[in-house]
Parts: sequence; C-alpha cells; structure tokens
Amino acid sequence: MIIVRRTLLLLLPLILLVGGSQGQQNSQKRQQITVATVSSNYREGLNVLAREYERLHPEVQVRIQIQPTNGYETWLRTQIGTGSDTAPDIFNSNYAHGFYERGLTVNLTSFLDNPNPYTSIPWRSSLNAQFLEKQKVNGDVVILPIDFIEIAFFYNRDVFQRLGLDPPTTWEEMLRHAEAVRKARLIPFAVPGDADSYWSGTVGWIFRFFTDAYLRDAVPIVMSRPGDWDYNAKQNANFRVDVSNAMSDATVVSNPERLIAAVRDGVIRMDTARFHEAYEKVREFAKYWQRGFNGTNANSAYQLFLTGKAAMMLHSSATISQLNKDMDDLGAADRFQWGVFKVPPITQSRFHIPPFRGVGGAGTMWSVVKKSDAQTARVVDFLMFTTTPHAAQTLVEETVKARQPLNGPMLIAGAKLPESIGRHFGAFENRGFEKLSFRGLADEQESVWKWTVWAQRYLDGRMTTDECLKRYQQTMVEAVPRVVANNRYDMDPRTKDSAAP
Amino acid sequence: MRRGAIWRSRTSYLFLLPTFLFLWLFNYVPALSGLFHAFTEWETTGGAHFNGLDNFRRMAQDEFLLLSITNQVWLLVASLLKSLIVPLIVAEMLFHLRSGRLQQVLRTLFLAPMVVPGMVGILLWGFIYDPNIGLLNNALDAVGLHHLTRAWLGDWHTALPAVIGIGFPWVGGLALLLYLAGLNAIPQDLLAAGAVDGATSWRRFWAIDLPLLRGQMKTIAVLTIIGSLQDFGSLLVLTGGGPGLATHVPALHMYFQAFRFGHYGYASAIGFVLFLATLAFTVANMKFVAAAEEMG
Repeated sequence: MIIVRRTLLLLLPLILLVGGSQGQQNSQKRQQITVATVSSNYREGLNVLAREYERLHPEVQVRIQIQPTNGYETWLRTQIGTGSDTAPDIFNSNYAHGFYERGLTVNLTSFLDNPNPYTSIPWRSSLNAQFLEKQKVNGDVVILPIDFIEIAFFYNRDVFQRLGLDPPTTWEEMLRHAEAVRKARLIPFAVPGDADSYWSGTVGWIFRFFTDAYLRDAVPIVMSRPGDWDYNAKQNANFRVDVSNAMSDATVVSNPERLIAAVRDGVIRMDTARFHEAYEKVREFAKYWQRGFNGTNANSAYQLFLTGKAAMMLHSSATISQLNKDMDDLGAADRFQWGVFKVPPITQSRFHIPPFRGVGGAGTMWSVVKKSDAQTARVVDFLMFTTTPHAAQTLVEETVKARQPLNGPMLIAGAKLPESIGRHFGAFENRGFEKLSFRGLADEQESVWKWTVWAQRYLDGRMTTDECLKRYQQTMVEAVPRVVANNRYDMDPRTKDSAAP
Repeated sequence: MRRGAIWRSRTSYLFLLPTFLFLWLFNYVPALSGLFHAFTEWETTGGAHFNGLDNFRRMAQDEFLLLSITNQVWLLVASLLKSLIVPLIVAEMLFHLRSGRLQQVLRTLFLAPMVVPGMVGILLWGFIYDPNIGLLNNALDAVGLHHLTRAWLGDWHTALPAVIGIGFPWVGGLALLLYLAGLNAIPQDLLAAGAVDGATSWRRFWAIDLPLLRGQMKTIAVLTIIGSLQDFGSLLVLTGGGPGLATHVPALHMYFQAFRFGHYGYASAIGFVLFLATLAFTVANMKFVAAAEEMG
C-alpha cells in the first residue's frame, strides 16, 4: 500500500506535465499569430483588431504580447536569432537590426502589389510610399512603417511670456533665450544624459541632427552611382547639394558599401574641422542643460519640465499626448501653457550648413519573422487586415480612449488624429529623413557604446574636442570590419549583398 | 550493504533526481559550454571556430576591460569591508542587549529587508540618487546644504562611491545571522573565564569573539568575493557602466560583449578569467584565514 502511494506520488508531477502539454496541444489546433510589441500604447487597439480578425478567421488565434522596452532587443535576439519556433511572428523592427541580412525575416516586397482582401485595392495603396522607401533594407521592403515620430523643442509658454521671449527662429537666438532663462534662475533645457539617451534618446538625437547637417556635403560621396545595384537615375542623377534646402537629398539613394568604404578609406573622417565645430556647438549647447545631466534618466528630465523647473526640453511628438494627459492631472496652480518649436537652424558657422531637419521617421515599425510559407501567408494576411484605414482609425481611437500617447500621425492612409493632438504637430511636419548621422558606425552596437563613453567624457569636460574626435575616428575605423561582417558586404557597390533570398 | 541502503532510500533519491538534472542542465552545461567557447571565435554572424588563445590575447589589449579592473578592485574591497565589519558591529550590539525581547524585535527588523527583491532595492537607490527629484539631494536642500548636492550617479567623481554607498547602512541579513549564530555558539565557560580575569567588553571582543568568529568571516568573505565579481545587475540598471567608464566592471563588459555586441566567444573568455579570479581569491582567502587560525 505504501509502495502504491509512493509510486502515485512520484507519478503525479509526470501526470500533471503530460496533462498540461495535452491541454496545450488542444489549444494549438488553432493556428497562432503572435505579435510581440513594445508599443504598449496600441495595446487596446491591437486587442480589438485581434478579436475582429479572429471573428473573421475562427481557425486563427492572435496573441498580443506586450514586451517591456528594457531588454526587448536582447529578447528578440535570443528568440529570433536562434531561429526558435517560439519566436514571435510580428515584432518592432526598429529595436533590433540585422535579422533580414541573416535571412531571419520576410521580404514583403512581392506582397505589396497583391490586392488587400480587406480593402480590395493593392496593399501598397494603404501604406506610405515615402517611408516604405526610406526603411528599405538592401533594397527590399522588410519593415512596415505604422506611424510617424519626430523631435522638436517643447517650451513653457508661461515662462517665455514672463521673460518676453518668442519661440526662437535660429540656433543662436535659442541659446540667447537659454541665457535669459538661466538668469531667471530656471534650468534652460532638461536633458537626460544616461547611456540610453546617448544611444536612443535626446543626446543621441542632438548628435545625429548635428552630424546630418554638417555632413550634407558628403552625400555625393556615398550616394549610389551608375552601375551600383541600387542606383536610381530619377532620384540620384541630378542631385546637387543645396544647403538652403534642408530636404534637398531626401529622396537620394545612398549606398551603404560606399559609406563604409568612405569611412574605411578616410574620405569621411570624424576628426575634421567640420566635426570639430559641430562637437563644440553641442558642448556649448550642453552648458544650458541641467547640472548632472549624465546622471539623469528620461523620466527625471521630463519631470523637470513638467514641474516648471526647466523651461525647454527636446522631445518626440509622442510627448504631445503625454503632456496633455499630465497637464490634466496637475492641480490648477501647477498647470502651464506650453508650445512646440522646431529645431532652429544654425546661422553662424565657418561652413555652409543646411537647416536641421530632425531625426524622425517611422515610429512603430513591424517586421515578420520567417517561418513556414503557410505561416508567412497567414501573418501577411493579418498585417493587411491591420493596415486598412478602418484598422488604423481603430488603433488611434482606442489609444486615445485609453489615455495612451500617440507617436504622431499614422502612416496608414485614411486615419485621422484628434484635434487636441493634431494641432501641435506643425513643428514636426515635413522633417526627418536624416542621411549621414553618426553616433557609432551604422548603429553597430560596439561602436555606439564606445562613442557613448567618449561623448559622455567630452560633455563632462574630461576630454578636449580634439581628443574626443581622435578617439571617435579610431572607433569608427575599428568598427568597419565588424559592420562588413555583420552585413555580409562584399564591398562592391555593384552587387547586392544579402543572406536573404 | 551500500547498494542496499541506496535501494531502501530510493524514494528520496528519486525526489532529488530532478534537482540534480536541472542543476546539470541549467548550471553545469552552460558553464562547461562557456569554458569550451572561451577558446573559439563565436559571433552572431556565424558558428564557433576554435581560435586558441586569441580571446585571451585580445583581453590583454582591451583598454576598456583593463580600465574596468580598477573599478572592480575598489568595489571588491568596499564590499568586503561592508559585509565583514558592519554586520559584525550590529551582531555584537544585538548580542549584548540585556532585553531578549528587544533583541528579537531588532533582529527581525534587520532581517526583514531580506524579503524585498534585490532589484526593488536597486531601483529605490536609483530614486534616492536621482539628481533632480531624488531623496538625497532634496534632503540636503532641506537642511541648507545645497552646495553638497550632486548628480551622484552621473558625476565622474561620485559615481563609484555612490554605487558603493548602495544599501547603506550595509547590514547584510545573511552576514548578521551568521555572526549571531557564531556569537551564540561561544562556550559560556570561556566567557566566564574572561569575566573572572577582568576582561573588558573591548578585550573580550578582540580576545574571544573575533578569533572564534573566523569561520563565519571566512564564509562571508567567500560569498562576498563571488558576489562582487559576478554582480553587474545594479550597474547595468543604474549607470550602464557610466558616466564614461566610471562604474564599468569586467562582468558588465562580459555582458555587453555577449548580449549587445554578439561576441559570444570573447565574452566566454572573460567569463572564464572571472571564474579563475574568483577561484583564486577564494582559495587565497581560505588559505589566509586557515594560516591565521593556525597561528592564533
């Protein structure tokens, strides 16, 4: 009897395990589509769309998995990078690069001209052509841009009125405003300066729009030329640098191998007079950031602005919804009027510098993990469903209803933003499309990290401009072989290099 | 006879089997895999290829890794001082309390923080050190010491000391328990003999308590060395190793190499050297304490 009881006791966990897996098998009879996204603002909208899709396709179960931003990249690399069956089907591709080059994500190009069964027009017609083009990887559409995001300066309108200031129209005027704010014993700019900020936040944006403007003259060096696999005569043949026009090169196709070769051969260098001036201007700007910005995270910097301690902050268009919400939550005595102005152009320089144009682009971007052909067809069908005007409007409305932030305008045709948010977008419009922006080489993470080390030291006053740029130049040259290996470039711009078929 | 004893206790062994199985699978297999891959070039872009001692030569030339060693030494020394001295002082004070009830209450209060997950504590310290809305700067402002306020984790000069300050007043629950157990185990006749000889509390501490707590100190030192060399979680969350390299340590370098840069082979080599360093420090500590015991 005792032996029987003991045997049963031992078998119990086994029975539970087997029972559990059988239950799982039953639920797996429905085909699964898993969306693993960090875009938690769309949580409600995505769930509504998932249930609508399941009603149309009872054989499919759609799972919306909201992932924390922190660690998302690592998680994606372990899930997708290992080719695991448990990998999600749809993910935010702006958080991890290089999967397509390794043949792990789907080339969506051939699907774009198929009719979307949910609109009866070609799928491409509902998507934003300009951003599809911009986000191409090795000439292929791998990334679906869902919404738009851009940066601009938010300012405390009450403080500006009190000090008799208007939104600045030049960079130099903005720094004069900053001096006036400082004299009024307020912090001119709230800027987070932790390591995340140098990679994907405010400080990274600042260096990006500076280098983008200061390197505009180098666009002809890296743009595709006749004979290159990605040469497009319509876009490139007649291009001339026009520094009076911020967007003169917006549609020019640049060849990544020409860019890497230019860095390798020292045609594009970081230790030039142009970079020297750009970096000195950033350091001059940093004098107006709050003390100890290198120890400030994004939330802490935002709180400085929200509590009226700082008069300005550089933030993304997603902050509009957040500020509206936070102002509503503040007591009447603490609320203030705020406004937005675009990043103003530099007018005093030794060089001909075009106006800044921001660093924005698509905010939420989705890619599809390559599994079986049947699964790809299923996932593409779901994507077609979620990129109809009706679906995009559902995402907007559910997000607003849940008091969640919207990144910016949707890049899916037919969706409209509520007036309370849309009216602030003037400063963000017609911007983005940076071309040659550097903080590391081609976002290769080791070079980004090393640059962060030098840039933090530089802005902290522990390195001279020359020392910083010398180190940066060395970092860039060392990164070249890694970027070449990661992307499997053969360094011949005439051939398209991709592991993906 | 031996086989018979095992057969009689087979149920117990069967219950232990899953533990050993998972221990092998999740602890030993990755460690052995790391050991093997330390001698390979293994990048995200391809499979692992044997490259001899290349990773170790690379370590010798990696200026970021070499700079991080200085930080690690400071953190290790500080950790040892914090974990060996502060809990000992608190244990002595608790042990000598006359009221047993008060002793029990205070002991519970000191041990209660052990149930709070470590990451919660780290994030709390992040809030304390926040330069703009943090508790520390606000407290300094409130008492008129604005000139002392700092970006504690963002200032090159204070970042490492601030990391060392995490957990103040550093009364580690486990160390306190070990010391209290050690003090309780001191034979009463020894204490009585000391009292007859007219030993003061100070004299008793140096002549009786401290020599008899060497075993506990050895255990605490070993655990602290292992913990200090392996731990990078708080640095990853609070500073990312910055500003610059002010709080960068070898374990964080290993993490970056593996999970941010995709250099798995090189990261394995760093892990292997960290393992050797931990082993060396631990053995040296055991030998040093054993030798001191013999001399004592």
